[in-house]
Amino acid sequence: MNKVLVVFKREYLAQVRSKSFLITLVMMPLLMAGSIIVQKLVGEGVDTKERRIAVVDRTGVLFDAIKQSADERNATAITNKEGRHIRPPFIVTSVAPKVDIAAQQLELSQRVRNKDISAFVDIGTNVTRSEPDADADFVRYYSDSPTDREFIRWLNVVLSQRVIAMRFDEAKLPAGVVQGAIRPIDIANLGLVSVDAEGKVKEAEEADRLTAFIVPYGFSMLMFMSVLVSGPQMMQNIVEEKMQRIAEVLVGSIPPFQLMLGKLLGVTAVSLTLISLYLAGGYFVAQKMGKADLVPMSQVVWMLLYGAIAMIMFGSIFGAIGAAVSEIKDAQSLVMPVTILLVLPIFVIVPVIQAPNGPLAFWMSFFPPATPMMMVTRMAVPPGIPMWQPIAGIPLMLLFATFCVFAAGRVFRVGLLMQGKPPKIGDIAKWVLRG
Amino acid sequence: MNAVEMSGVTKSFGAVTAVRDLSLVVPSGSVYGFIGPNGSGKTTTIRMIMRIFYPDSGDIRVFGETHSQAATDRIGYLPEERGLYKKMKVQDVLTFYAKLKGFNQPGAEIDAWLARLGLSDWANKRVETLSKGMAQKIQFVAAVVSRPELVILDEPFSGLDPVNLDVLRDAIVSLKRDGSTVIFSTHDMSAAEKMCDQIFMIYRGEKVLDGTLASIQDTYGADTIRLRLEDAGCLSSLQGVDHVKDFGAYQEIRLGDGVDAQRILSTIAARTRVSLFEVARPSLHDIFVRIAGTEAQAS
Repeated sequence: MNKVLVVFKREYLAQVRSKSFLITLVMMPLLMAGSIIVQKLVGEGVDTKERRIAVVDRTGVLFDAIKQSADERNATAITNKEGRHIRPPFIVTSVAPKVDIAAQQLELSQRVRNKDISAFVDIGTNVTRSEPDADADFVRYYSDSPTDREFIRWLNVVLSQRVIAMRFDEAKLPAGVVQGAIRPIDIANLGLVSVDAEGKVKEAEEADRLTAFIVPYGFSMLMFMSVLVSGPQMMQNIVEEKMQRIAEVLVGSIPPFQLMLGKLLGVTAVSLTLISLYLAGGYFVAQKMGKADLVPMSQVVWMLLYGAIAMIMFGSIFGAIGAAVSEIKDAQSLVMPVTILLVLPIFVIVPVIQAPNGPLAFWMSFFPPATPMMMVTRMAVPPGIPMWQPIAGIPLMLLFATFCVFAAGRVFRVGLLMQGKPPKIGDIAKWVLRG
Repeated sequence: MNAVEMSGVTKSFGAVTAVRDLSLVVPSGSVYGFIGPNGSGKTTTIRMIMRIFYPDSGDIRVFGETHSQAATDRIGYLPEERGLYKKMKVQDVLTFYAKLKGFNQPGAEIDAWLARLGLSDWANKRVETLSKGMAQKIQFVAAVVSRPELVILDEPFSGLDPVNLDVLRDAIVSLKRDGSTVIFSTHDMSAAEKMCDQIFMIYRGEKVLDGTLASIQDTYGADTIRLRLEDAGCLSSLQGVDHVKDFGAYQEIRLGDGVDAQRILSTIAARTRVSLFEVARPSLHDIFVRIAGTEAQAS
């Protein structure tokens, strides 16, 4: 057992001291911060060129309102605090309606093609009336850039307000009364009411998006990342040991199973280190934002426990692959199915967060390779899951982990000294079965 | 007490028989040389002694025991090439290997070995900064630092310059002096001749030589003559000579069965000036070439 510890210590230090570990440690938050910054930059980098829109107002009463709203918007809403343009100005011009609608639309389309105008709007004669008329109720926006929806969105709001008010007038309904009557309701998404220590009823907090989504999602991602970083690293170390003929010296000193065990413990400690560091960082940030109590301690403990078991399961598989191949490039085809297994929970994470007690979430969390991420995610989504589930998950995972370690141990013994042609999955299965 | 006893050992890889019906006894405290052409089964034999490979049939005992796995603290092992973590410091990698052998306070031993091999300044350097020769010496230290009773060295001299070769040779001799048994494989015949108590040669998976140098040479008799001649060309048409080898500065001929050396001398002396004429037993090198010559040339 002493030798297992010797291997454990070397493996842990070798990984934690390696540049790639430090880079990962720094890169992950940098990438996150970077993506936020890039999104901001991209957000400000929108096309702010003016949009010249021709309006064919067949009602004859809407253009002035549109023009007025556009001018107001151009004056107030298209620059940021520093006075820089962040949105395109809308320049609307009126085009007298012609009787031949099709011909006029063709003519205006041609003007769009000639870059004379950016787009045009055709408003049907009946739009402002309270009595529907299918033929004349249309508002049509014609452009050659259907994905640029900025103007449509704006026009929709402006026209709706104006048109609805006019329809009320026509129907002789007092606008204020009707608006009051049809005002929308806004459902607040709240947690449960509780009684505090002094016996007062505590205000129900608005169920924070942070707990409902960010925290479980973050937990799963963290676990996923730590396995994805440490597992292949372990595999690579083993391949290097094979290539450098270190493996030969090692098996002359320590039984292969103990060797693998030491490495597995080492890599598990590495991934727990990674998780702990990020959790500590996350807690620090949450505390600064006054939201530290959103992450319950009990979940952190569960997460470390599950993280460790996940690492043992996947670590032994990655280790076995490392022992089976002679070159890192030979490992790619074998790593592929393992990665899919690893990514599986990520694929279903959104439906699982939305329905943490649904059948998909339930059964997925009892599929051992997915159990760690699924359980941790579901526990983090309020109101959590019945306690027996995460507890029942542990023996199941341990069983699977034991199988992985046992199988990997056999692959390790056979593969560690094998050089040359990479084995097929079938060969590896044979090693596992025959020992 | 014998360090290693092998009897009737056979090992195949697929259709290839790497070692066939091999029996070998390595007495404790001896230096045993393994020679043979590349691919003839030396490393397989060594790995079987290490229990890295299991024999298909036959029996291998190390210190009288048939242990089930390679891991043993009593044997130090230097594989054929490399075997060191590139990113680790010399001191750390040696400590790691020593601890793996259950030798938990190796500091003094490491210092002593590094000093002896002239590597003290490199203790805190990373392995990747070492030259090939230095790395090889470090690897040797890794194999012996835990004071194993049996040291197995696979090609310890390959790629070493003459100075380092001498250093390593002295180190091996000192291991023997301290009571260790040493098995090493080598292509350096003169090293094998000078250092080994016994020599074992394997060819195409089978044992072809085994014994002391003297006993091996005895089986070949004194059929070799070393010459230094003014005109080496006259050897070509000589009667009763099996084999002529011209090294440039001197020549070596092998006599056929029953040919008298004296008669050859008088024939040669009649043809050219003779400045050296020495009747000798064949060197290990010659014996090796006689056994494996055609194959070695082909490869």
